[in-house]
Amino acid sequence: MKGTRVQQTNLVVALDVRSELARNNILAVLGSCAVTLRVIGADSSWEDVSSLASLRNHHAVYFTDVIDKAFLDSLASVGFRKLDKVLLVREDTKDAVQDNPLLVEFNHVLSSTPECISHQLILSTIHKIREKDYFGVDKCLAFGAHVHAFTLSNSEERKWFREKLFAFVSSLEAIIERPTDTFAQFALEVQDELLMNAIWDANPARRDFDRGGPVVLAPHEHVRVEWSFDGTLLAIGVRDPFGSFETAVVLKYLKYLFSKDRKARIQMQQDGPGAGLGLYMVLERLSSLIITVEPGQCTEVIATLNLGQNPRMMAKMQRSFQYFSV
Amino acid sequence: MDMEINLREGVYFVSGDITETCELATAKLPQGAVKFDLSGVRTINSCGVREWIGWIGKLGIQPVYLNCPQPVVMQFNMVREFLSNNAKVESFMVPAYCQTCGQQKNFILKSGVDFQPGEPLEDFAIDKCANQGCALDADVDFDSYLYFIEDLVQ
Repeated sequence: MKGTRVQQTNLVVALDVRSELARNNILAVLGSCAVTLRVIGADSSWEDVSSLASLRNHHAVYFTDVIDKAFLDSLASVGFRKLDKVLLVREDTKDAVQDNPLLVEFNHVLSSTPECISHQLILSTIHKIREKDYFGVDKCLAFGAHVHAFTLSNSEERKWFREKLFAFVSSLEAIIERPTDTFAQFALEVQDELLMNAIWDANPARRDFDRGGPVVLAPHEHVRVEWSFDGTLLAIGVRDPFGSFETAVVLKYLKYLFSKDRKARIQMQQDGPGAGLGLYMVLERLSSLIITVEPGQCTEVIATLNLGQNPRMMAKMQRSFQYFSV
Repeated sequence: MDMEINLREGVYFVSGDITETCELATAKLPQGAVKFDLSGVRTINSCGVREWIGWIGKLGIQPVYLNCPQPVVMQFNMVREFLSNNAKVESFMVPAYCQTCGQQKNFILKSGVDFQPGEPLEDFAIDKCANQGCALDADVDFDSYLYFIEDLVQ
C-alpha cells in the first residue's frame, strides 16, 4: 500500500535555555524530533543560528526561559520565513515575566518547573509546526486518547452539551480517583463560554445580536466541539468557521494571564470589550489555552484542564498559553 | 440543568445553571432585603452573571446571599457588580477533600463569625476528622478564593 507523503516543514530549533536542567530536559525531548537543533551558547553561536535563516523555506522555533530584549531584536532582524517564539516560565522566573511588556513578543508561553517541562506541549508544538497539522484536541493529548466529536447547529443545543459533558467528566472519577465536582463545573463553564464565543462573538453577522433567544445556525456557521481525556489532561475544543480571532485580543489575554496584580486583572475584565468577560472567565478555569487561527477560515480554541492536579494546585499554577496563526 | 427559584420559609432557593436564558423577570420578589440560598447553583456563565446583576439592579432590592457555592464565589471574585446594590454575603462554602480517606466536605463560612465583611481573610483552618492521618484540605486557592470578602460592605 502506498503511504501518503506529508510535506513537512524544514524546522530549525534554537534553544536558548539558561537553566541546565530545563535545557537537558528539552534536549532529551527534541532528540526524538526531526529538526535541525542548535543550542545557543553550547554548540552554536547566535551567528550560526542566524545563518540558517538564509536556507530557503526554513521555519524557526526559538525556545528560551529568559526575556532578553537584545536577543529578541536580533531574532527579528534575521528574517526567518516564519518564526515561533516559545517562552518557558517556571515558578522562579515567573516574577520576571509577569507584567513584562516584551511578553507579547511570544506566541507560546509554557508553564513549567525545572524538573518537569511539559513534554506534551513541546512535542505537540513541534509536531503541529513541522507537519502543518494544527487543528484538533488529539494534538494536545497523549497518543490514542479517544476524541468525542460533535456538531452544534442551534444555540439551544448548549443545554445538551452541558449535560453530556457533565456526565463525561463525572465518569472520570474512577480514573482520577477523586471527586470531579469542581472539574465538572470548570469544564461546563469553559465549554459554555467557548460555545457562546463561537456562536455569537466570532460570527460578524451575529456579534451584536441579543443572546436571549434561540439561534439556528446555517450550515456554514456550524460549530465543531471536541472533548478528550488521556488519563491526565481533559481537552475541550471548539472550532468556528470564521477565523476572526484578533491578535489584539490574544495579547490582552497574555497580559491578563501574566499580570501580578489581581486588582489590575479584575480591572482588565471590566474594560474588556465584547467577549471579554467570558473568555477571561475561561482563563481562570483551565491549565492551558491554545488558540489556532486560520484567518477568515477557522478559529479553534482548546482549553485543557489538568485533572492530575487537585483544583487548588490548578488554581495556583501559572497557565500556559499558545497562539498559532496558520 | 435549567435554573429554578423556589420560595421556602422566606428564602429563595436558586438551583441549576444560571445562563442568559434564565427567566428571572417572571420571579416575583418582595422589596427590601431578599434572601437567596445559592447552594444549588451548579454553574454560571458570563451572560448569566450579567442577567442576574441586571435583574437585581432593576428590582432595586438588597440581595442577601446564603450558602454560596464555588461557582458563585468565583464570580464574586471576577465580577465586582455581582456584589453591588449593598449585597450581603451571609455565608459561603469552602470545598475540602481528604486524599487519605476520600472524604469530601463543604465548610460553611459565616459572616461575623468566620469572616468580617470588608476585612481581608487570608486563611481558614480546616478541621481534620477523627480518622488517623486525615489530610482534609481546602480544594481552593485561598489567595484568589477569599479575595471578594474585602469588597463586601460592612
